[in-house]
Amino acid sequence: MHGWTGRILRVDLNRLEHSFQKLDGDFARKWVGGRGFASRILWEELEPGTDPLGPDNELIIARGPLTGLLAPSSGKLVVAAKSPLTGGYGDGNIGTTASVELGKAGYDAIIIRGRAPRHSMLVVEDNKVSVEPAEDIWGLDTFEAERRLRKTYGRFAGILVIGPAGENLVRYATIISQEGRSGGRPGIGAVMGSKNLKAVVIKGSGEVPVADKKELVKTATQAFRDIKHKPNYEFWMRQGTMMTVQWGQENSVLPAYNYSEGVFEASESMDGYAMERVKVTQRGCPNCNMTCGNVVLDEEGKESELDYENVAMLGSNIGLGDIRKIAVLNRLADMYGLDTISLGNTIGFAMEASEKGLLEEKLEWGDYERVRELIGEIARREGLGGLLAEGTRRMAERLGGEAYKFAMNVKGLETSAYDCHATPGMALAFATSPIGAHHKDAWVISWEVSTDRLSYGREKAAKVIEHQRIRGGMFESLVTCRLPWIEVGLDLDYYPRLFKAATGISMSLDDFMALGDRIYAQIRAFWIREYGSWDRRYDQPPAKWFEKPLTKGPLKGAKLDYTRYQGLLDHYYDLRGWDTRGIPRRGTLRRLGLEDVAEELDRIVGLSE
Amino acid sequence: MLRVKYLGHYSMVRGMRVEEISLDAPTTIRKLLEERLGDALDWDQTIVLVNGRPVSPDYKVKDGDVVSVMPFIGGG
Repeated sequence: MHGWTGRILRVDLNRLEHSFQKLDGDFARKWVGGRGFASRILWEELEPGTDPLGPDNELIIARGPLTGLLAPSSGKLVVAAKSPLTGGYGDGNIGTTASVELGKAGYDAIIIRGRAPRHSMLVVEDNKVSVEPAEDIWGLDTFEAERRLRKTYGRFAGILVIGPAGENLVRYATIISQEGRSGGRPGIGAVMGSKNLKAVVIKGSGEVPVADKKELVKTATQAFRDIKHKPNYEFWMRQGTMMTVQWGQENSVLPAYNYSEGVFEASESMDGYAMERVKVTQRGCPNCNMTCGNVVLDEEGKESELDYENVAMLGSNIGLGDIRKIAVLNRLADMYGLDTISLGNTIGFAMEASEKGLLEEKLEWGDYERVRELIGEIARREGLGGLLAEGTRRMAERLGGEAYKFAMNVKGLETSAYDCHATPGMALAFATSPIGAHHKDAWVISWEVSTDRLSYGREKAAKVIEHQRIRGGMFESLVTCRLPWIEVGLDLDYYPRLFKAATGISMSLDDFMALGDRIYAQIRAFWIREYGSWDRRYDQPPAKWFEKPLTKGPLKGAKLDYTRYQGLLDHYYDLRGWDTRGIPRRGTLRRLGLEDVAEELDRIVGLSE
Repeated sequence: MLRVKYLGHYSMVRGMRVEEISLDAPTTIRKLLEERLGDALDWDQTIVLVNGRPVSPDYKVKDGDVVSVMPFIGGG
């Protein structure tokens, strides 16, 4: 086997045992890696109705056949589990040296089950696997915990940790690496915490076997060079994703005041240029030559690694326009191990609820001092923080009445930082993302605003699917970063070539698109089995975008049209080969090689022909 | 007077983020931007807004318009 290490590590924390499993070749070719592996393994191994925070949930850490190899921005790995936030499939992607070490240690995935009897950490050094006590780092923030671990395991060890948020089972706790790399938005950090697992340390001394090293080096070198010569490369290196603040403002998609508006009056004091004024350095993932982690000195004089999502969510979305204060909130979120997107959403939701008199506590827009405290309260589940730790879906249920109308989530996962009053295609992308409202699978706004942005035509559904196949299918399984392609325009044809050089297996781009469809159907099946039924109401964008029009900016008055959105969703289902409930048809599942899934789903919901 | 805002790498190509232009004669977005951005301008990967709304390259600019020219981006 090439590209893959051919081995999976299984850890049972109940019994403090581990075993090595051979990776089946057919399985590897069918699911490739990362999200492909995770989605299939969770389907095969979790009993329906498994408590996401109970010992029977599985935490999966997976690489793909390009991860850590010489390939553009290949230092990424996928973390996945059944989500405590959504109750469905959840995963996330982290750029970390742990991704490289995982392959070097000889594993394509680690599957962790059970709950350790005491606070623990998993230490993997090649074939040596042990569960060690972690009492002395339990309770520490992620930065401090990692620094302590580095003293023991060295600066090159791959380290994944959770903070107090994961320990206290905050439903959107993430896993953190390298003091600011965060992944697993749908509460994968809480799953780790529920297993009494504070950290995973990975060190490897081997090498992942590749089929044609010469070809891999040649192709990758060309790709790295292409990236550096792209016209926007230089500007990307200055601002990275932070350019999106100004871009979003110009296009009226920058979320402000809990997604009530798409423009923000103080955007210039939090945009890429404001960031550049306080930028001190830049960080990146392994094997990346277009590093995007912009490190600034925050209001308290400490380093904070910023990107667009956390700035928009902890900035304009809560009415705060000071980049250095936003940077403090971002740093605290990383230290506590909280997802900044859901955090900005729950705070924005609470501010709107307070404004409407639905909360006892008064929480003003842009109240930096109060928010600064509140983030710690969320991580510790104290007072109002205990409510916010539950995410907007549960918050709305608790507050009752009309609160659900401004709870900005899909399937329980909070929306990323794009206002969709005037972008139906992006609203569809959020609504059909396989983990809930996240932007990683399909980000169609650039294309959408350049066309007829307020339309609901079939081509928009097709564009969302195209992105989902490439971003959510191919990149999440290979596992490498999508940004070389999506941000600077690296030719997609590089990826089948790199894959061939690594694995010796020919897969065309079309084959990768089919892989994306297979993964999407598999994940959808997981949700259906967990929810016990399914219909299109789960694929709806948040109500606010339909009901409350924009009141500011050039698109004042714009909002989504409910009936026309249903037409767009019908196109999407039809193009995917799913029925009008959003359930894959029998023939679609057969075509994708998922006969066993068809059989099981048919028993639950009755499949359409 | 016309205002042109250059976003992203177009600000580096043009060497400024905002430009104020006096219009001597009516002109189109295409001509206006091709004169200023030259070969760096990739119409397939560029969005042009006038007063916050997308326009085609053949739109005729007029006094008071605010033009924003920006590359496609990936959104992370």
